[in-house]
Amino acid sequence: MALDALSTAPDEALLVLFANGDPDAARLLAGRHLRRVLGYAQRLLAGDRTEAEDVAQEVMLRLWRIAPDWRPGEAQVSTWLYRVTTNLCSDRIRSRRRRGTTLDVHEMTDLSDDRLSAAQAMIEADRMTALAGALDRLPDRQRQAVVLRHIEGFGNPEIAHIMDMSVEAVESLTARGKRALTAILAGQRKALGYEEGDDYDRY
Amino acid sequence: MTDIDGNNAALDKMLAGLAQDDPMPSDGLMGRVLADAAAVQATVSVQRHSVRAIDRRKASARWGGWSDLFGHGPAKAGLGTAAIAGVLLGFLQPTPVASMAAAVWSTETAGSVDLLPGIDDFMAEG
Repeated sequence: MALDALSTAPDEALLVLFANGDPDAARLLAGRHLRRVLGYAQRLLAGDRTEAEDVAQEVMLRLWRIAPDWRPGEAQVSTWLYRVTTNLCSDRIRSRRRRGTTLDVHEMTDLSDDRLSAAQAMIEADRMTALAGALDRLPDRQRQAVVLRHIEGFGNPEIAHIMDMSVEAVESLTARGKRALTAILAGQRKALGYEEGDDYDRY
Repeated sequence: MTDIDGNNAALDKMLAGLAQDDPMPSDGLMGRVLADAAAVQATVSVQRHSVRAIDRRKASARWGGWSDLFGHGPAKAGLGTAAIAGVLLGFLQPTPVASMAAAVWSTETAGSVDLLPGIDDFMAEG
C-alpha cells in the first residue's frame, strides 16, 4: 500500500498491516507514538534520557510483538502504550530504590526561544527544572496521574484505564499531587525568581 | 482563595509548558525501534509459514490413508461424479426407466411405489 494512503490509516489498521508484513506500518506507528512515549518515560524517570530511551524501545517492541494478537476495539493503541510505559517505569523506579540509587534531575527543557531574553530563558529553565524536580518528589502514583492529566492531556477515564484504577481514585490522586507540587514549589519561590506575594501566574 | 486559585492556574501553565518539551527521538533510537520491528515481522512471517506447513502435513496425514485407497486425480473425479449421479437418481422420478421397461417387457410399471400403505388409514382418521 502507498505510504500516502497509509499515513491516514488508524493505528489499529496499521497494526494489522504490520502483522501482515507491511514494512511501512512500523515506520508510521513509530513516527506517531515514539516521541510521546519517550517524553512520558523521561518525565516519569526524572529526566533520565538514557533510561527513557531504553523504556521507549522496550514499549515499542512489546507493541510489535502483540500486533498479530491485537483485538480491535478493546483498547486504543495510544492508551495501551502509556499503560505499558507506566508499568515499565514503575518497575525501574522500584528497582533503583532497592539498589539504593537515586536519580539526577536533568534539564528537561530547552528554551532557546528567540522571544525570551537570555536572563528570562535562564529563569524559565530554572522553573521548569524545579517543576521536574518537584514532580520527581511526588509518590509514584501521584506523579503518574499528574503527568497524564496535565502534561499528556488525557481525561480521567483514560487515565483510570492506563493506571488500572477507578476514576474517583484518579481524581483524588491528581488533586493530592497538585497540592503537593504547589507546596514543594512554594518553598522555592525566591530561588525561582518570584517575589513575596506573587502568584505563579504573574509570570 | 485567590492565591490558591492563582497558584493552581500558574501550576497548570507550568505543567502545560512541560508538555511542549517532548524530546525528539534520536536517529539511533528510531533505528533500534525499526530494527526490532523488522525482526519481529520476520519471526511472525516464519511462524505463520510453519503453522501453515504443519496444518497441511496434519491434514495430509489425517486423510491421506483413505484418499490413497481410491487412487489419485482422475479416479477421484470419476468417483465423485458417480456419487452425485447416484444421489440424483435416488431423488428424481426415473420416467424414462418406466417407459423403457414397458417397451421391453410389455408390462405396466407403477408410477410410484407406496412403501407405507397402512399410513393412509391413520391419516384419514386424524
